[in-house]
Order: sequence, then C-alpha cells, then structure tokens
Amino acid sequence: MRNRYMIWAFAALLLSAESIIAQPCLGGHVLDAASLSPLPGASILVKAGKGTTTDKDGAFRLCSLHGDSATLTISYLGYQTFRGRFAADATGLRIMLSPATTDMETFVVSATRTDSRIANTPVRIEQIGPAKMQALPLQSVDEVLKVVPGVNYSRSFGIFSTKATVTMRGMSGKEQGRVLILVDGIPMNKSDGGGFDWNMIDAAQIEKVEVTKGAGSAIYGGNAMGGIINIITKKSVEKLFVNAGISYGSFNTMGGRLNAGGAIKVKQPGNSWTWTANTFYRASDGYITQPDAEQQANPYIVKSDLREGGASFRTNYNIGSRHSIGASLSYYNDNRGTGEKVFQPRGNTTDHDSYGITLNYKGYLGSYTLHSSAYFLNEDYKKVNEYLKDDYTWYEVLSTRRDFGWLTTVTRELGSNHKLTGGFDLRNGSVDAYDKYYTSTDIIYNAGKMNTWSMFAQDEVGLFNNRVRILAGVRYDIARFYDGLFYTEAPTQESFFMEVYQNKAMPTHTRSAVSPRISAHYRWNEQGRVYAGYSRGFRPAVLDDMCRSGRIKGGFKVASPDLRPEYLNNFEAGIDLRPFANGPLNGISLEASAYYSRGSDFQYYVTNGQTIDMGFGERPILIRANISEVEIYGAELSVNIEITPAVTFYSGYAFASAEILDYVKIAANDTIDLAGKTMTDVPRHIINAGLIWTNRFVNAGASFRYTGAAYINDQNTVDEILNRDKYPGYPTLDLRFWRPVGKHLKVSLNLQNLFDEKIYDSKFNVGPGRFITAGLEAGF
Amino acid sequence: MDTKSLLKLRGFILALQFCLFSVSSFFLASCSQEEEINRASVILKSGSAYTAPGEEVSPGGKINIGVLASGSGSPLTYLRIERITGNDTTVQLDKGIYAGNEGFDADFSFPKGQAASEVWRVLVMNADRDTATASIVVRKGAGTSYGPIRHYADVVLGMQQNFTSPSYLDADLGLVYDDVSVAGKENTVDIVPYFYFTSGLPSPSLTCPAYTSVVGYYPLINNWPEKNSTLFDYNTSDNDLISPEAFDAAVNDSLLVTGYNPTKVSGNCKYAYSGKVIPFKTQQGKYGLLKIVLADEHEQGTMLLEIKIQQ
Repeated sequence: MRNRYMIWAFAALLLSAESIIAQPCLGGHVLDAASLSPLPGASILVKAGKGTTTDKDGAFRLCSLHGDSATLTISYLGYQTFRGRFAADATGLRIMLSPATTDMETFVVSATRTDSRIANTPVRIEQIGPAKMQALPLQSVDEVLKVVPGVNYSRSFGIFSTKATVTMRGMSGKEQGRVLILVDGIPMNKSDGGGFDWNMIDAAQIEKVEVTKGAGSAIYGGNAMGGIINIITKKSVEKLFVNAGISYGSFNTMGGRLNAGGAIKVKQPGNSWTWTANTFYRASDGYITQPDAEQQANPYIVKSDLREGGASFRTNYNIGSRHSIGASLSYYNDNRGTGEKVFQPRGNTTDHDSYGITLNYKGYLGSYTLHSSAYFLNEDYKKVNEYLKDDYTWYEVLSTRRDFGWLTTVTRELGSNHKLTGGFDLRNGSVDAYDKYYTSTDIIYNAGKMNTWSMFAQDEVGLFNNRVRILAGVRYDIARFYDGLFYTEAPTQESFFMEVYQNKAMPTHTRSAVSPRISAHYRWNEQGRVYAGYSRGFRPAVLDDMCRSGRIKGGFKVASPDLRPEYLNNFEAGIDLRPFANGPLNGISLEASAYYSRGSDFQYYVTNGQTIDMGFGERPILIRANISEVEIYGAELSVNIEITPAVTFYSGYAFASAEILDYVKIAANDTIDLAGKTMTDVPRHIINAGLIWTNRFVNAGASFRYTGAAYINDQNTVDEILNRDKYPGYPTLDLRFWRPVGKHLKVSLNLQNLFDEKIYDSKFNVGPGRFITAGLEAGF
Repeated sequence: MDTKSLLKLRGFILALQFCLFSVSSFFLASCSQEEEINRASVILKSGSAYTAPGEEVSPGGKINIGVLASGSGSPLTYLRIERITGNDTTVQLDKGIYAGNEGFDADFSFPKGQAASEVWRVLVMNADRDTATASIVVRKGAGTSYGPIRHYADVVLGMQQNFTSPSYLDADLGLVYDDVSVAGKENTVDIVPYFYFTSGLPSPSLTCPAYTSVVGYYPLINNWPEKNSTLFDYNTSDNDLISPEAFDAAVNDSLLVTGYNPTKVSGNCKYAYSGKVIPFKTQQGKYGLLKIVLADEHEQGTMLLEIKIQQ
C-alpha cells in the first residue's frame, strides 16, 4: 500500500517535471492520497535545515535553495512521512500522503492470533498507534494504556515504582495476573506471581499497543481473563536509521537512549534482512515517598531513587516473500531504592536482572500459514531489606523466575472469508527463591514448577459479503504443578514459627481448563456494526501462592499447593458507529460496549481458623483459597473526533461494578464474610479525554484522566492507615509539546500530573506529583 | 565502493556493534567472580569483671560475659548467646548488629539458673554469613542470690492521645510523668504506652524512649537528652508462661530473673493486651514483671499496670 502512494508521488513528480520552467523557487501542494483534499499545516523540511509548512490550501513554496536540487521531508500527523528529491526550481508538485493507519492500524494479531482486520473481528479491540503515542508524555510504556477507555491503571510512584499494574473490565488493580501481557505475541506474565515488569520495556521501542478487551483464553489460555495487551515493537522499514535522545527533568532525572535499525537487501533476490537495536539508561535522585509521621518516627528514611538500563536486539530474515525467521535478545537491569537506608550502601532496594531470548518462524505453505515461536525469559530478582528499630535486621530476598515455551499456530484460508486456525502451546514456569538473613542464621527456601500443555482451534467465517462475521473457538489447557517445596535452614526467632509448615515434597497437582468463545457481528455498512459474544477466561494459580509461606499484611500466609484456577464467563455486546459518513462531521466515531461477567473460584486470602505467634503476638494464619463467586458488569463508551487533519479529540468513559456474591468460609471461626462486598482496587468510574494538535509552531498533546474512588480492602472497612474505606477519586492532566528543529532534531517538553495531585497508596505513601521532563532527540 | 554499498556496510557495522554490545552486556552482567569469604572470630574476655571458665555462681547470681569479635573485613551482623544445660538450649540473646572494622566489644550479664552445670556459648556471624563461637562452663554455687523486689500496684498510664493521664513511667521507682513534669527526669523513664492498629488488629503496646518509632507517637521524646532502652520478653507472655497467679505470688526476684527468658531480645516494644504478664529488663539491668490489668483499645485510652521490679 505504501509503495502505491510512493508511486503516486513519483508520478506527480514526473507530471510536474513538464511544467518546470526556470524559476528560483520550489513549490507545490501536499494532498491526502485518497481524497486529494489539501493538507494544511504539513511540515516540509529541506535537508539543509530550511523548512516551511503548507497553507490552508495545502500549498507550499521554498525559495533560495542551495544547489540544483533539494531533498524534502514532508510529515503530517496520521500520515506516512514522505521523502523525495526534487529540482530546486520544481513547481506544481502534487505530493500525496497516505494515511499512516492504512497498513498498520487496521490490522491486529492479538484477538485471533492471526492477521485480522479490526473491522472484521467481532470483539472490542483498542489500538494505540504512533500518532497518539507521540502526543503522550510517556515515562513508562504502560502509561500508553491510560488513554484506553476502561483501563484500570496503577503506578503509585511514577517511574520509581517497582511495579505497575494495568487491568480492565472490572479486574482488581492490585494484581496483573488477570490480564495477559504479550510482547510481540510472547506471553510475559510470570508463572511465579502472574505479574509483568513493565519497567523493562522502553517506550521508544514500541510501534503500537493492541488491547483486546474481555476474556481471551479461548486462544491464549491463562491470564487472558479480563483482556489481552499486546505490545508490538518497531520493525525497521528504512535502510538505516539512528535515533538518539537525552532527557532531563524533575528529581534530577536524566536519561538517554539510542535506537538504530536497518533493512538490507541481500544477494538472493527477494531476500532481506532487517534489524533494530535499542539501548536506554535512566537515573534519578527520586523523592521521599513516606508520610510525614513516618519520616518523624524513622530517622533512616531516604529518597526512593532509581537506576535502570536495558538493551535489546531484534532481527528478521525474510526468505523470499513466503518465509521469515526472526530472533530477539533483550536485557534489563534496574535498581530502585525503596526509601530506607541504615547501613547498606544503597539501603533498601529492589533489583531486577532480566533477559529474554525469542526465536520465531513464519511461513506461507500453500494455503497454510505457520507461525511458531520459542521463548526463554529469566528474571533474577533481589530485594534488600534492612531496618533498625530495636535491633538491626537485614535480609535479602533472592528469586529466580523462569518461563519458557513453544507456541505454534497454523492457519488455513478456505476462500477469502473463511479461516481455520489451530495450534498448540507448551509452557514451563518455575521459581527458585530464598530469603537469606544476615542478622540471623535463617535461610528460607521456596521453589516450584508448572508445566502447561494446550491445544486450541478457531474458526472465522464471513457471511453475506462479510456483513456477518462469526468467530468461534475453544482451547483446552492442562497444567501440572510439581517440585514444590518450602523449608527453613538454621532457623532462629525470625523463622522458627515456620518450621511446622515445612514441606520438601509438596504433592503434585494437575488442573485443567476449557475455554470456549463465540462471537459475531453484523456490519450494515462501513460506518456501523453491532457485535455480541460469549467467552470464558481463566487465571491459573501462581507458584508464589502454591509454594511459599511467609509474613503478609494481616497475618501469616501458608503455601496452598492445591489451589485451583479462577474462571470467568463473560457476555458482551457493542456497537461501532461513524454516524456522519460524509460532510464536515465525518471525523466523528463512537464505540460502545457493555459486558456482564460471572466469576467462580476466585482466589482470596482467608483465615484457616488458626493463629500463629511470629514473635510479637498472635496473628491469623491465612491461606490463598478458591472461595468466592463474583459478579462483574460494566460499560464503556469512547468518542473520537478528527476535528481537522491537524486536530484530533478523543474521550472515553467506563463504568465497572465488581461484587463478591458468595463467600465460602474454610474455617468455622472465620468472622469475615465477604458476600456483598465490592472487590478492591476497582474504580467505579474512569473518564479520559485528550487532544492532539499538530501545527507548524509547536505540536501539542493533552490527556486528562479521572480515576474514580475504589475500595481499599476486601472487607470494605475503614483502613486504619488511610482512615477511610476508599481511595478517593483523582484527576490528572498530562501535557506534551514537541517540535522538530531542522531535519534531524526534535525538542520536547513533558508535563505529567500538571495539577500536582497527591495520590496515596494503601500504606499512605505518596506519589511523585507533578513530573516534568525536557527531551532532545536526533535522528538520522 | 559506491554509496549503496557504503550504506550497507555502515548498517552492517552498526548492527554488529549493537550485537556485540548486547552480548557483552549480557555476559558481563551474568558473570560473577568467586566471592572470597572473610572469617568471623570471637573471644570471651577474661579478668575479675568476667565470669571465669568453671567458676561457681549461685542461682540468681550474675554471670558476666565479655565478647570481643571481629568480622575480619566483613561487618559483624549477628550475635547470639545460648545457655546449654544437658540437651536443653535456650537462647538468651539473639540480636542483629552492625559492627564494621572497629569490631564488636560488649559486656553482658545473665542470671545463673538452677542447673548444676551450664555451658554459655557465644556465636557471632559476619555479612559473609561465616560464624564463629566461643563458650565457657559455669557451675552452680552454694545458696541462692535472689533478692528483694519493689511492688507498684495500680499504675495508670495514658495512651498517646490521652492528655489527662501521664504517659511516662519510671519503672524503678514507680513514678509517672506527663509532658511537663518529665522535664529533667527524662533519663529515668523506662516505659511508655501507645495504641495503634497493626494488620487491622487493635494493638495496645508498651515501648521505651529509645525505640526509634516512639517519636511518631510522642514527638517530645525526640528532644530528650537521654533515652532509656527497655527490653521486653517477646515470647513469654504471649505463650502465657507466667500466669497472673505466679506474678501475684512472687515475693523475691527469682521469678523476675528466670521469667525473663527471651529467645530474641529485640523487644523494645510489646503488645500489651489485658491479662498478660510481660517480663522486662531496664537499661540499668533490673529485671521486672508487668501485669496488664487493663488496656484500652483506642489512642485516647489508658493502661492500668501492676509492676514488680528488682530493688
């Protein structure tokens, strides 16, 4: 498609060549390739740094150029950038830009594991592409998702957070495990805790993010209960590019990154090799997160600071047009201070040492498409804990979390409107962890492994000239927990009370899940469709719950090796409208969805009726158990308005209700009853809105978000620390300004949380408030 | 070489550089040298101030142990002193420490028990988790050394938000002070009460001026010139090893010194629920017992105590 518009531009150039007469200026018009309407305000840069923008008729004129010719770079928000060399006195040029959305944004892979058009997929899919991403003041890649209606987003301490959580569809913002995270189709949720380290991906690597809402276990299996987030990294289409950037901002935060890539044709006709590489580093002095009272009480409180860096390399070799093999290698390390320092050089810190390797093959074999990927992900996590109260305590948590697997999808096209897909996944996850004390002799070990085998089948059918599309599929997952253990070595007072829970040979358990899905849509024309569907999702038990015992907030947690998965049955319906097909209002689009879900076997910490003295008094013993039935329902509405090609407005509202219907006690003396309580960390209302304005002076992006109140604890009672039952709702306004300077440079200013809203977590620790950075990028 | 080829070559070199960088970063990060372990060492001090190996001490009498220890290049981080009688080992001191190049030098005293022979073993560990031990044998002497006690009934202390009842207790003399009357007496205050919620549970507690977090409840203590450290037995009272009846019956300090039998002396604060008996040891080395007659479960409340302490 892109080539087609390049040819248009080239043809325009040839036509214009006839009318070239000896004039000192170069000029012409910039037009939309499809409608031939002029594009006012398009940026035109000449190699030497000279530039202009088009007027209201899309016309431009550049005079006094050096030399006989000039290379123009023409860019316009939402369109592919055009580069071309012209005679310095060429006039009457008609340069047509093709929308950036044409190739990229209408195709997704997340919903079906095949290349599918959003318009042909009867589920709710949101996509954030480069145009929107470049207008957001991103410090972390997960912040992209703040602009997606209904996404429940949590990153308590901004860039200083050791973890961020992104969920949706009424799923608690406390845990990442109920939403599947993919990076280029590779599942990233760790088997140990279900989470994903959002910090390890640099936003500059990202091409787009696909969000598929609702249960997607029919195609992806575990974790795809509330939805799927697929982060797609950039692929190089240029022969060679190099981008370098530096930034500086609040709390003495400084960062740098270097991205490069290339596409090289090799000798064999049709073969090509592409590569991208990315490195980044960021450091910050940070700020004090603890509340005033704690600062008064603890003289060892220090700023929570940050050092992080990473590198990745991705390559793809295309063998003709029918086969490609690819590989990627990534590495990430961070060291984040957590705000207390007594004797250790960096005080209390968390440290992730992560690397990942992936290999993939994609081939077209007759009417079959085969896509197969293998991956290996390793995270070495280290947490240093030290504090001085009555005596000195210092220990480290060291945990190696590994996940590897082989994913294979085969698709067969049966005509233009019928696609059969099947495949299998093999996955293994493991954890090998210990708490090592230095102020006593204790070492506390836990380990466990999980194998998962899965098969799936899916049918996509288009009827009545694709007006009706049906998507149906089913997946079977069987998982085996094994090699679970928990024991202490040389216990002292720190861990002697755990001895009774030691188990060096936990029983093996096998669990299975069947996840069906069926959905359909009816599209009456290109401007509207309705869809409805049913899907089932599940979230497997995580190794941390199955094999680790230890202190947690509220008591002592004992390992629960026979924990079962959670299940969710989801029904949803929606409508997409572009109500004004023609005329000045044709840039308005609306999307609305409503869903109703019933969950069973949800996992909660419940008391087993016993207590334990951990050295300072009796506290309840808690165990992760499948106890409740939950009801979740909600609705989402988003409105996008392309006011002019240079001004885009977007907005969304989401309502969610998540209630526990039934609570089955496992101990008769359990005084808690969660039936009728609202799930924690689920805002009832989320509103977002944003504006993108590109112009020849300073481009600007504004995004507003209101996150509604959410309950703090399971019992919906007043929290003793925050002295309230709900986190209050809060608004944030983020702004970004950016401007190209010459051909190679770009300056930017990012303002997050402009109103300096103070946001507190469950320990009354406070977020960073307003966060400002300025950046300079150079591209070649 | 034409421009196209040069461009290709440039791309190839750049890609190669990134590959090398990534791979070398990966291997550099994953390589680790064999770590050298520093050896910990400990000796027990000798001299007239210290109990000698084989010395006879009557029950209730003091066993004085002086500890000199070094981490030999790695900080000392752990100290444990155990009393071993036959097959029974009780931990008398279990303490996280941080002693750098200066090493560790401290003296401790413990009451002699009823056993004919006791082995007192000192264990130290450094940050490399290397341990060293030293021990002495102490024999039972004739008679007993248990002494008289002071008894204070009906001591009322106010929690941190109670501005009518005093909150600072001199356990030795049974005197209580408020924010005004404590002026000039700060070095005599051993115990202060406070109330808070922990893990959702109401937790009336006792602490002392030296506890780092006490200034969160009593900010004035931050300015005190001297802050006494009182150690509470963490386990005994929670396991009800000392009953209120035994407390009532105590007429000498036998129960006071034998009752204070912590397996970990990191007890500058202690949950203090109504009906509990809590052994403690003041900074001056006096043993005592606290009976919590009544503890309100709110921060404006009071705590009613009965105290027995060595004279």
